[in-house]
Order: sequence, then C-alpha cells, then structure tokens
Amino acid sequence: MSDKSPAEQKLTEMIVEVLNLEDISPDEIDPEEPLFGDGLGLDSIDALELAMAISQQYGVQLKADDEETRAVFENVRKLTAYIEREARAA
Amino acid sequence: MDGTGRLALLRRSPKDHIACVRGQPVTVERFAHDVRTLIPRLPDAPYCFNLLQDRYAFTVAFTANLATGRVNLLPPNAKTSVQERLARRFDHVAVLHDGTDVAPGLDALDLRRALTPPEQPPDDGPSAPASLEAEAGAIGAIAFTSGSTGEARPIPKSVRMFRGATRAYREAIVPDGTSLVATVPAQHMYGLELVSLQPLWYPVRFTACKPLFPEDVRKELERVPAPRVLVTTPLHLRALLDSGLAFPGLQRVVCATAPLSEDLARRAESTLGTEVIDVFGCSEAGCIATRRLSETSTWRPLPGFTLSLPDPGECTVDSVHADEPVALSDQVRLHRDGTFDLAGRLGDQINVAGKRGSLGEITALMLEVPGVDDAVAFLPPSGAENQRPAAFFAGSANRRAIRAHLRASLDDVFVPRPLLQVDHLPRTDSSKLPREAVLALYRQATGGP
Repeated sequence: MSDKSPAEQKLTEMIVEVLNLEDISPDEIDPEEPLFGDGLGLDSIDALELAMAISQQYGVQLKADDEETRAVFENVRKLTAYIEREARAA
Repeated sequence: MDGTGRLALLRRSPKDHIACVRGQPVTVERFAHDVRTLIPRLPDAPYCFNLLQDRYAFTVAFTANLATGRVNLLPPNAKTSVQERLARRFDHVAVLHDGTDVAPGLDALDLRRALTPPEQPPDDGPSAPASLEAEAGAIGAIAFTSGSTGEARPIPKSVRMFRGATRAYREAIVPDGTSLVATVPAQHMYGLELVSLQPLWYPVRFTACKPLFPEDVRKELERVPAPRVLVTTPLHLRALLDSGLAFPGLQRVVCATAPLSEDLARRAESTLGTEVIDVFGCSEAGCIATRRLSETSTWRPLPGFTLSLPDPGECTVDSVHADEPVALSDQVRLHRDGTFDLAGRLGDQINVAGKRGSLGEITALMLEVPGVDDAVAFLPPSGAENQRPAAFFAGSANRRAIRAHLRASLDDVFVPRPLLQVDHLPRTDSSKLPREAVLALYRQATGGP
C-alpha cells in the first residue's frame, strides 16, 4: 500500500464516513485502489453522495460529460488531485 | 384497443423534434431514417440485449427491434456475468451496445459504428421499407427482476401495453410539448416508458444523455428548449437541492422509483419553483399512480388503472391495456374512491434507488462462497431514501471474497453494507432466524438505535 498525503487521508476519512462503510477502516483503503468495481465496490449512488459531500466540504461541483464518473473517481489519489485543481481554479 | 392487428411505432409529424442530442434537435423524420438504416444491420437474432447508454441510440435500436419482431432484453445491469446467465435462457441472443463489455460468444453490434450520429448528414446506405409498425400483441421487451431463488424473473411487455401506457401518461405525468431530461437509465421501465417511448406517440422531446451530477443536470437542462420536465429520483433530487446551483425554469419535476418524503417534495417545489409529481409504479405494470405531496399523500391511479384487493394483504393492479392483473409487492390501503395509501413493502422484496432486489437472493449468493457457513441479508430500519441491505455471515470467508462473489451477479447497490462477520447467527432451536433477533444483533454490532 502506498502512503497517503494528508489531503488523501482526509478525503479517505470522509468517504468512509459519508458512505457508511462501517466495516472498512480508512487505513484499509489504498489511495490507488479503484473505488468502483472490483476495488472498494462503490456504485452510482455513492458517486452522487460523494459529489454532494465534496461540494459541501470543498465547494467543488463535480462534472462528468455523461456518466463518465469512473475517470474522476478512479481512486482516492486522482479524486484528491481533481478536487485540489478545481478548488484552486475557483 | 384490441390485442390483434398492427400498431404504428411512430405517430408524429415528420418535422417535429423528437429528441435533443448534445444540444442539437433531431426531427421525427431523421429518427425514422435512422431506425430504417439500422434495421438491415441488426444481428440475425430474435432476442437482443439493448445495453445502449446513449438514450437516442437506445431508442433507435429499441424501435428497430420492435419493427422487425425482435425482442429487446433489458437486463437489470450490463455485467457480462448477467448477460451470460440470461442468454442461456433464450434461443439466440445478440448484444446491441455502445462500448459496454460483451459476454464471450454473443454476437454484438456496436452502434457507435452502425449508427451515424444525428449531428452528421444521414447515412444513405440500404434501409428498410417505409412503414414502421409492429404486431400489437407481440412481446416488445423483456425486463428482469430479482427472485428469491436467485434466478431473475422475466417480465414480458407487449407492444400494445407500451402503447396503452403512454396514452395514460400523457398530461397526467408528461405534458405535451415539453423537453424531457432524465437522470434514470433507459433500460429501467420508468425511464423506458416515460422518456424513450412517450415521444414515439406524443409530441415531447427527450435528451440523449443521462446526467448524474447536479452540474451536469443543470447544463443539460440549459441546452434544451423550454418547457422542460426533469424525470428523476428522490436521490438525484436531493443532490440537486443540496448543490445550491441555480437551475433553469422547469414546468414539472417527475420523481419515481422510491416514495418522496414530504419535506424533500416541499423543498423541491420552493427551490425549483415548480410542481413535483411523485409517481408510483413497478416494472410489470409501468407507472400506476401519481400524487403531488404538497397537496396530498394519497395516490391517485392514472386513467385506466384500477387497484383491487382480491385477498387480505394482497393487492393487484389492472389496466385497460394490460393482459392480466399484476400483483404488487407493496402493502396498500385502498380507499372507496379508488385512491390509495402505501404502507411498506412485503417480505423479501427490497428497493434500493429504484432497483428491485430480493433479500433471499442475496442470502443464497452469500452461502455459495466457500467459508461462509451461515448468512442472512436484511434491511436495517431507517428513514433513508436509499437504505441498502446489510448482512451477517458466520464462517472463515473474508469479506472481500464475499463482496466479489456478490458483485459478479448482483447490482452493486445490493452488495450488503455493512457486511458483518459474527460467530453464529441468532437462530432459534428450530433454526429459524427471527427478524427481531437479527435487528437486535445489528444494533449491538453497529451501536445504532
């Protein structure tokens, strides 16, 4: 497992809390592990719940041209980088 | 309408707009042309999985299948394991898709290659003869719903049922002259009938994309002509309201798949400045009844639909266009004037974000995993709009292996959360598992109420 940056750690904790992943601890989640599909197994409901939490906590509105959520949400590392980029641009 | 004879699949004025693809209007004429050019390219198979994500391509393919007597198969999700399992139950199945993975051994047609995008000049290749029609009694589509045995149950729908349904939805749900933007999948019965099929027979336009995030919904609403109708679910609606974004004017919000809360309905009406119509239905019967929660919590059946209680605790719905009455998996309090209230779902059936599942099926699949000695999936009590199932298991299996096995067959929303390992389940001497004991164990395990 690769180490998480403080921002990645914070986002991971938010994911566990927002999505009620009571049986998974933030330390179990690798920042490069896929969030959807065979990794953590999140789904489109989770994508929407996460998008709401991200817009509230970071002021970033997630966009996806269609349902291309998997690219933005590929893993904690990419999602963190995306949020930081968008927050700076705003 | 009788069950025989042929029905026109497109009854619109040729120059009218039937769709809006990436902001560009598409005429009825062009849509009909696209259906006719697709027909000679369809795989030589009587059954076609219609897995198209783009709603325009989905609707073109759906109509081409109807016009050629093919049956659209609408699986609960596009996973290859589900394609394989369902394909075994039919003689010859092909797959129509736009990039989805296809199960090995199935004929497939990628419509990104077989269909010219509507922004480009129409394809002048070979096309089918002019009339687009279908036998009224022919099966036009088969949807599938979870059963407690683990085997998906087919729900066949005739062309006549689709035609009758759209007539009932007109005005009561979808007003003429509107643009429909939908956050629900084309393959779901609600999305299929209201958004893809309504425009075949009544003057409304649908948009090809399925926006998910609030910002995507806002952009899509902005690029279609008013008056606009948003076809959505409680989950998506809550996300829109919480986003704080400003949305273009809406004529109506139509919400289905799970009952709205009164609070959410009121917030939506005041924030979006429009009426919110809540729709009750099921895959077998389509949309059945509506209500506007800011006025009443009682459901009013659509024109032509009648509910009855043949036995205590059992409710059926019949409609003028259905072949036979459909039993509902909801508990219903029926009033004398035909209106009704809902009082929860019956037994094994669950509904998460509009997807219908079976607790028995989840339990049966968990027990297939090596190292799972005992298991139970259940629905924790909650007021959440999208309460997912939770589960206990006993044995040495690890949770990742169980999740991986469930995900291969189930929609992701039915993979239990949390999935909790216990020494043994609270079975009685007769090895029954009382719901109360399961919930007590759940409270103990999660520290919840």
